[in-house]
Amino acid sequence: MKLIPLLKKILFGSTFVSMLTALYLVFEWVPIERQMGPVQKIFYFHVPSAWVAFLAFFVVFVASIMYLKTKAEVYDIIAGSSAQVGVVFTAIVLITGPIWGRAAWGTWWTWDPRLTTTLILWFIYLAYLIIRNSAKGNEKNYRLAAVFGIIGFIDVPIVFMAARWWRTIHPVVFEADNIGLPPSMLITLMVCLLTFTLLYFVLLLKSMKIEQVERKIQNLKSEALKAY
Amino acid sequence: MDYLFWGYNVIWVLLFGYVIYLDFRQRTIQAQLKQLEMVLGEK
Repeated sequence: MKLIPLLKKILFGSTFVSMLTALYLVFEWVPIERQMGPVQKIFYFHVPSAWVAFLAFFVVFVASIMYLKTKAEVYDIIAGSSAQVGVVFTAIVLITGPIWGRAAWGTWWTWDPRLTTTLILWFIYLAYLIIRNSAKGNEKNYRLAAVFGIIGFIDVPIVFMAARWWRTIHPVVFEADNIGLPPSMLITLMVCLLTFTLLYFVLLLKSMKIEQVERKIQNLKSEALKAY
Repeated sequence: MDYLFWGYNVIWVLLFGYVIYLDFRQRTIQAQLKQLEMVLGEK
């Protein structure tokens, strides 16, 4: 068996096993938080979704730099696919956050710095995807999208630090000297973080495959048009 | 309103919806590519 298909199978399998483990830990193993009740369990999906979104946009940032530097198509494909996955996970963050917020704060949405910067982040990468999808084989537009992908990443550290820099009602989970979680909750969170990271790579590979086939179709069509 | 219930449903609908969309899209364009290669091969 070839190495890459084997690695893909291992990745898909471990994602599945990790997902089942995460579900068991969240719904069966970890105790219900005393103050918030069962609704606190959204945290185990909300935080990993935010982590994956940050990771995805970091990949966009690095791949965009590499694309501008080398002009190799593969980096543009990685950046575009990663941005798509990042936008989906940011959407999950933006939807699950208010569901938890309604129970915790009594309101669906507030223009808090963390919430506002996250919404801006989502719009930035949505705009990135619109620019990239309108490129349609035009290399200049792909380069423009890459520049946008690099500049857009500035918002990621702002989102992360927003709860530390400004007065905010959003809780800070990880502090430098204190994690602030009991061991059972920390273990569950770590497993969920691993699961969502694996899921990110599965979705990234799938998106990349689609983009590669789409480009192949585009190239075949333009070659056929030139020939006839 | 059971917020937890809605929260989990939203997560799973979004995640599985996205996976199903990717799978469907991959199948569609791979069939399109196969068809295109066949047509171009004939000509």
